[in-house]
Amino acid sequence: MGTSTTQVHNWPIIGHESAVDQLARAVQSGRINHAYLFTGPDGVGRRTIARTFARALVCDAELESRPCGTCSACRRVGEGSYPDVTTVSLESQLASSERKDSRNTVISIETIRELRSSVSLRPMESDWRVAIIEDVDRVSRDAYDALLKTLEEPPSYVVLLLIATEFAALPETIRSRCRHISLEPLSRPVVAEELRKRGVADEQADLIARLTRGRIARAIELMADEETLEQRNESVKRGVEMIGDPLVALAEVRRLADVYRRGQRDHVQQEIDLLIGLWRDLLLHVAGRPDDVTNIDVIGELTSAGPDWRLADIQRALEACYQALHDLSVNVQPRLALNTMVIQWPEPGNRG
Amino acid sequence: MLDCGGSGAGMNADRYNSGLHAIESLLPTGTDPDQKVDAQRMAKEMTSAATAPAQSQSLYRKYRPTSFEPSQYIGQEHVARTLRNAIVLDRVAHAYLFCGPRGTGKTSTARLLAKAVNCEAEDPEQRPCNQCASCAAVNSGSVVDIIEIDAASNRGVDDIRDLREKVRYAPTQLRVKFYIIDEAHQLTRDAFNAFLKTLEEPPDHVKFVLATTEAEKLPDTVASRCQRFDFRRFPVESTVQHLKNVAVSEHIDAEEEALLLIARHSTGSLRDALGLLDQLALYGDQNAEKRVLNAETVRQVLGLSHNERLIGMVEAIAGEDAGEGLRLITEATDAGEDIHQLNRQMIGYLRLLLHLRAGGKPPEADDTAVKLANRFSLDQLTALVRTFSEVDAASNKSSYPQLPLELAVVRAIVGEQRGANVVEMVQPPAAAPSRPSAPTPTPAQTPAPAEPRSIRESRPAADTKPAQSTPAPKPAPTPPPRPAAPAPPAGQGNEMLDHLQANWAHIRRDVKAENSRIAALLSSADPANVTDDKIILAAPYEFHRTKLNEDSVRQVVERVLEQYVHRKMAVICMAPEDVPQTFAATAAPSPAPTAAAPEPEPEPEPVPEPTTISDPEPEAAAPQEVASEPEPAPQETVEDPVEPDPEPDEPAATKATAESSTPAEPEPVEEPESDEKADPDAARLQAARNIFEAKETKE
Repeated sequence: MGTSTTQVHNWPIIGHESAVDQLARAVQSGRINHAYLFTGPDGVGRRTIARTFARALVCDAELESRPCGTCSACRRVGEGSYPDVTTVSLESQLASSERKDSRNTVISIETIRELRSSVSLRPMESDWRVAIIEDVDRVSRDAYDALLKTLEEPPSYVVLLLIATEFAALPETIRSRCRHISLEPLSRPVVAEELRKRGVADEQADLIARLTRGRIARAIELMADEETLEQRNESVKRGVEMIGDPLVALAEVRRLADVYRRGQRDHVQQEIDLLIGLWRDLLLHVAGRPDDVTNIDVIGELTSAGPDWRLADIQRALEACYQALHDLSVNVQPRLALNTMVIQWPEPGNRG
Repeated sequence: MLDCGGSGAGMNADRYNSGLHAIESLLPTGTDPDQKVDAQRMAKEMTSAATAPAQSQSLYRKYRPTSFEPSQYIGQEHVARTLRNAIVLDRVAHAYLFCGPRGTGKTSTARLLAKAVNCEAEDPEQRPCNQCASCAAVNSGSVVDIIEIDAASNRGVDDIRDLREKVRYAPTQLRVKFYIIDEAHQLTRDAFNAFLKTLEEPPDHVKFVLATTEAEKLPDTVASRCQRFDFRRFPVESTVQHLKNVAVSEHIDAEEEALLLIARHSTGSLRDALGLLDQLALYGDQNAEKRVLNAETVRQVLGLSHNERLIGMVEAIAGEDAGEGLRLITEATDAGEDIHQLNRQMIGYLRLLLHLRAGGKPPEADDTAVKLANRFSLDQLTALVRTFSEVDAASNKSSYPQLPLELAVVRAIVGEQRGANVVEMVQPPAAAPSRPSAPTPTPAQTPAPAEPRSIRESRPAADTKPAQSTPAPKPAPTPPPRPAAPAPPAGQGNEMLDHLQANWAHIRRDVKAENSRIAALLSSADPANVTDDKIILAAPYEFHRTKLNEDSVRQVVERVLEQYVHRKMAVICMAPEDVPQTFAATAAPSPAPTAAAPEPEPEPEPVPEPTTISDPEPEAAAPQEVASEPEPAPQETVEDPVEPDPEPDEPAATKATAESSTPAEPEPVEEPESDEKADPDAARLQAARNIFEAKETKE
């Protein structure tokens, strides 16, 4: 941390020390910026941190012990019933929308206008009016602009907390008006340790930590989700077979293409994602970084499928996978896209 | 910008000399006295101007400039000067359009202008004085006659009609009512149209300022009614200077390097820079007397990588150590660094190396960078920059955010051999008959001959004497190319052909700048031969040939090529199998115009159009193949050597006479040099001789 050696806060957050430290200091010193932008991959803890920050702002306790987690304010923020903390998200938009049938893919300008008018009211119970805007990536273009002026100079008692996935994808005008808090995936040992604390066996904790790649919220979810883990194990087994035998691969993509045509696009994308993961493991293994692999439980089978994998071949295979994802996203015929992907993979028996 | 900065510095010096440096002793040590004076003044003026005791007050809101004084108003001197003069001469326009990227001072300037116009100071030079009643009222934010409209939320025609109604009423407190319309591009089309009349001739007591980040979205009818000012991004130096001043008045003890990092990160936006300073200053220990900000903190909070990590990655690529490259990426992600940020820094660093390798001397380059740069060829560095530039686009399609970057590193390493081949191809074959594909510790020598040439040729305007200056190429570390290799003199068709092929990608890019349709045509054609005043392109498809031989298209190509060969050359396009394998001497006029429209080939082998994703240098590889293709059958081309000349127009006729007047000139030059050429060239030369002899006997 460089500047601070002692923990100055009691926030119930795992990891993200630097981000939490910043926010806790802001609360304690009273120097609150008017807008914060939290970015990071799904399941990394963005919402948790934003809510905790909101709690800390409105908590009844002394500055040093905020958020106390026990006072009525803290409790009601957690329940979502505190009047001075508003949350806007796709979900809340759908709930409040009168036209239930309309497609709920973006946060509309109406929602943002509503937010603006609610934000212009003075806080009722605390010193702050906090607005949490989730899914900022999905705010429509016009709504962004409607947000700008509020975002630049809101009333002095307003704090806006924006949550998005990718910082770079947001308009510059939004980015420059917020204090950016980037939440990166946690390191593997931290996640594994947390899982062990929650009673997961060592090996399993390590595997889940690898699989979720530092997204702690995801890891905790997965920990209790036997079914998903089981599915994953099956998929991985299939994936290893595909990489080991081109014929299996061709048969398998035929099935995937059918699945895709039937509309289960997400499922196919997940499968490709998994294949990408397996190829990446091979890449890491061949490049001499065996400890970084994700699917640690099958790496042995993977490498034995072809003992002389070459770096260039693996790289081409990975690019083929990315190409397939891209092709699918621009509506190339699924079977064509997937076959092309598999054909570009190196053949285990026939390489070098 | 430069001269404005100069005058600003001059004023600083004046103030300094006039005795204000007495304050110096009162100030903390460690900064330049000039700046301290500035900072003090600014702090005083600004805090007095700071509005209501808002609870959350960002630095960028607190430190909006309050006057046009250079100590306050930085970066946009060209705007300040014009506006001040307008105020002094009382020629303030009724509508202004401020455009520029975010955080460059559009809104701040609009408010300043409003204040200055309404200021009651006797001397117009002093406006805004920040002392009179009007200024005070504006500063306190209690004025109703300065109306800021957020066009994004009041974008409809009804909002504008409402505005039109209100415009008629006289101001209540000030002399002139100001409408500041922010994000003006957001108004709807109807709203703009409803606005036009008002904007053209508003009442005398009303002025408009339209501020927007996207000026091109405004209708021309609106833009033409306003005086337009373009706000530029703040240069790094003035950002650092401003940050320094703010830091002093905020009692933040900031390292110079920290401020520099912030300034770089904010890419010219002062709002970003001040926001970052604000954020980072909070990071330090709050209980201390002074808040401390060091470079380490900045890196940590911004997720910036140390230079060491970047150097490590470039070294891993140079040493072909994929494992090390991947390890560094994992290390960075484990340390919580932003992977996009890392990639951007990587591109930035490679760009620095590219500059160094190309002979530039960027100020931020150190010895390590120079050493690293010399481990790559210019082409390799170009390929690397391209490889890493593609990473961002590919990212986040899968759940492995770091994988695109990892792949880029691997591609940079396993693609190395291919990169080396490219270097080999573009250089004259005589220079390196064979060469290990892996870069040796001092690879600078091998690729060198190709480089200085391409650098020079791509900037013909900068170098007026190409042939003479060759022996002393710009980059010091590269040894001179083959002694006295003349660039593209007459008759060195072979030489020039190599030169064209090596630069074909550049040429196409230049053509693209003029006309992208023609560039698209050129992508299917390659330089196949050069006679002493003709450049022959080979295109396998009839369609491309016909198009390229059209006058309008041909002239564009000729114009661009002229910059590369430094003289006027005619361009002719023909089928690859019709290209004569001869150089200038054989280009005597021939009565057989067969080449103009050769038998349409149903399926000629397409000009290599690599579709493999991983091929890093498709263009450079192509010409060589085409050129060497027809070689096996040189005898057949004897009958119809070079005379396609599809359009017998004026230039072609002069060409023909020029040809006959200098028919055999190049041959003697060619002979001695070609003897030392490597095999492919010998074959080509042999072909040339055969044709030449055949022709002589015929004649």
